[in-house]
Amino acid sequence: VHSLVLHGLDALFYSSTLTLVALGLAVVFGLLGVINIAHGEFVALGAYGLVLGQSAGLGYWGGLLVGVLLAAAAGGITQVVIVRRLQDNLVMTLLAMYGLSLVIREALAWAFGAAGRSAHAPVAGKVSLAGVDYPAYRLLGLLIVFGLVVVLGLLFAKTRVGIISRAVVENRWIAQTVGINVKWVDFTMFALGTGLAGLAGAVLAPTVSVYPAMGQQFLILSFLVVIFTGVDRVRRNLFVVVVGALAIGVLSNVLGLHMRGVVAQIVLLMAVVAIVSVRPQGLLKS
Amino acid sequence: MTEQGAEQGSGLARREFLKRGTLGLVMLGGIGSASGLLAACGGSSSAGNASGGGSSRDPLKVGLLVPLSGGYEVYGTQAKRGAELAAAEINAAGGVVGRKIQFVVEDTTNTPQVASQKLQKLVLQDKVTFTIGPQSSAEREAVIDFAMAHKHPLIYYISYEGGACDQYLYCFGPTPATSIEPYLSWLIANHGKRIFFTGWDYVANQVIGDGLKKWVPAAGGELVGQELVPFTTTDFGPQLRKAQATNPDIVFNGMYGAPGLQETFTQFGMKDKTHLAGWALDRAQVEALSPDAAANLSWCADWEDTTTPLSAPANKKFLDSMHKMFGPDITITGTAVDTYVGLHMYASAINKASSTDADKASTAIDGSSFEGPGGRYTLSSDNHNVDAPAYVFTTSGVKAGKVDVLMAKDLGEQKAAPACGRKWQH
Repeated sequence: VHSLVLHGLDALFYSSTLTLVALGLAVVFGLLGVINIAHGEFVALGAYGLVLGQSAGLGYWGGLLVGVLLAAAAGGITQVVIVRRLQDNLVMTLLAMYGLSLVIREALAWAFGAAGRSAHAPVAGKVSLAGVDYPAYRLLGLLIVFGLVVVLGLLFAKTRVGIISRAVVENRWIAQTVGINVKWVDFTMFALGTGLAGLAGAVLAPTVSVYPAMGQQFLILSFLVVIFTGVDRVRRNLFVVVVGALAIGVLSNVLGLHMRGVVAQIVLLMAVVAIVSVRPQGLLKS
Repeated sequence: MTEQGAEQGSGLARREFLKRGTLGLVMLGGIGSASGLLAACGGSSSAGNASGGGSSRDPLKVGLLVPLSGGYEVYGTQAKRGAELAAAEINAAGGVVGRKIQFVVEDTTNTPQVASQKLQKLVLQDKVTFTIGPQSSAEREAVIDFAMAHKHPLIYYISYEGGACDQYLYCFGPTPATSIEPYLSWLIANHGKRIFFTGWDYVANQVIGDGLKKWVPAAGGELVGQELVPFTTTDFGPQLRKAQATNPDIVFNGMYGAPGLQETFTQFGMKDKTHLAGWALDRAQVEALSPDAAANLSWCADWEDTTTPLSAPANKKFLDSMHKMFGPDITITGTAVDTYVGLHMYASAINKASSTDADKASTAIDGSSFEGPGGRYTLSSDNHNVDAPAYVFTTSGVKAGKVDVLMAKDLGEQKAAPACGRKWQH
């Protein structure tokens, strides 16, 4: 039981960070129809924002804010400069976003060096929970993500912003004719999506190696989460990615514990391929 | 504005996502390999170190084939600095057979194919006399056949898994024989018998993982488990939980450039019971860690920039010259030292042989010694790896923002691996 709780919490923490990354990807895809190949680099921007903030003496919370703002601002600029102009051209958008991912990666390597950096957790030590001692920071990370999902959920369900954004997804053309500023919604949602990626990066940073290409793995994993959850469902309700993230996070953790790392990755990818070919609408019941 | 989104059925959206996503991922792969090819055709630069004057003869061209981009350029930059200092000293002392060393610098981009193409360019087009580099084991394997067929000497500076044995490949970095086998006895005596090995899943750690099965029992310990993970791993939790389950006294870490492992180890509270030992660790990597994670680590190497400098006679001059040449605040690692030693030793061999001929230099360098920053280095005539000093280094914590690195034990000069049984040409 002891180790089960421990592994359960490990998987939960990992799933929660996956949730944030995938949520960001889903916002940008679900609302704007843009596949953001550079999404992983916004995760890295968030992590480096924390490193930067901490080395400037802003502490963890200041650094977290720097990370989120950095990623959101970069996302906003990207939307205006690149995405808005190319949104209707699939191949050009992909190419441009791929180019952007290279630019961000090289810029990070130039600014911070290619070697791994580490960010500092705001709380050290462990907390006793359900009979195990668990790292305090990981519990804090779980709380941050949980709180954020609740806030976002309320934002989309209850507020005017949420209604407007859902209207745009539902029918972009009619939304525009009733006077909604679609351009502004596009801009805000893109910045929100990349800001979420940045937050995920900043929450993760103290537990992983921060290096320029760190986002690559998260891009692939968050794609898996969205595909696994079912693309249509994600488009209709962003928050089902929580379920997908939980599934992928637990699966990846369990596999990692029971087999060699390389084999675990192969099995994870094969499982997703199998699921997509058997149930292309995603594993969840519609 | 066209209104694509307006009438999109949900089935269409899904296909769209899969299509776009797949296309994107395929493009990632395609462009990734294409950029490697492009880089291969890209510019090269020459950096002159011949400061003019003195010699009436042409400069002696030397290839400097190191990664200056693409990851691990931290090591490439260290090697470049070590080589530049050695060249400056050699040139000031009259050069190599009266000629000044002049580097032709090529960036391998940390890619084996690029390393191979660049070496061919250095040998066939630039006609360099010998080359410093390349760096990773994969790069070394990619260039070795070409280099040996052309009798082109390589000064191999990086710490590696050992076992290379070619006449014109001179290995100056730490190997298991000089920095793992002697280190294990110290670890077991000081921290306990049960050892768990973890690292990136690639050739060097696979070789070391196999070796540990013999070396750990030979040193009186027990190898309780090992876990290698792919380079793409971001979550170090599962491998450390596996380690924890074996109740180890020591986790022997074969990962470089992965501060996340040390951080996770610390957050999991494993430091209370378990010592975290590293292979190929150095001050630069430890300085990247948070203060808690940076405390109480240990590693073994021929040199380190310790808080109280090592007492080898050549060390003070080396440190002063490096700081004078590259700035007072630079980080210096063992990679710079090993490149510095390698270039000095090979230049001396050419001078001793009075010839740049690879066979004559090979005879001259066999068994020769050099007093370097870590102590005495002797090139083994059996396998052209180096007998090197070995020290155990530990960290006590962070003082005034600087990691305090101590020399915990001088293990004395360590022999390179035994002869590989090949006969050299003379």
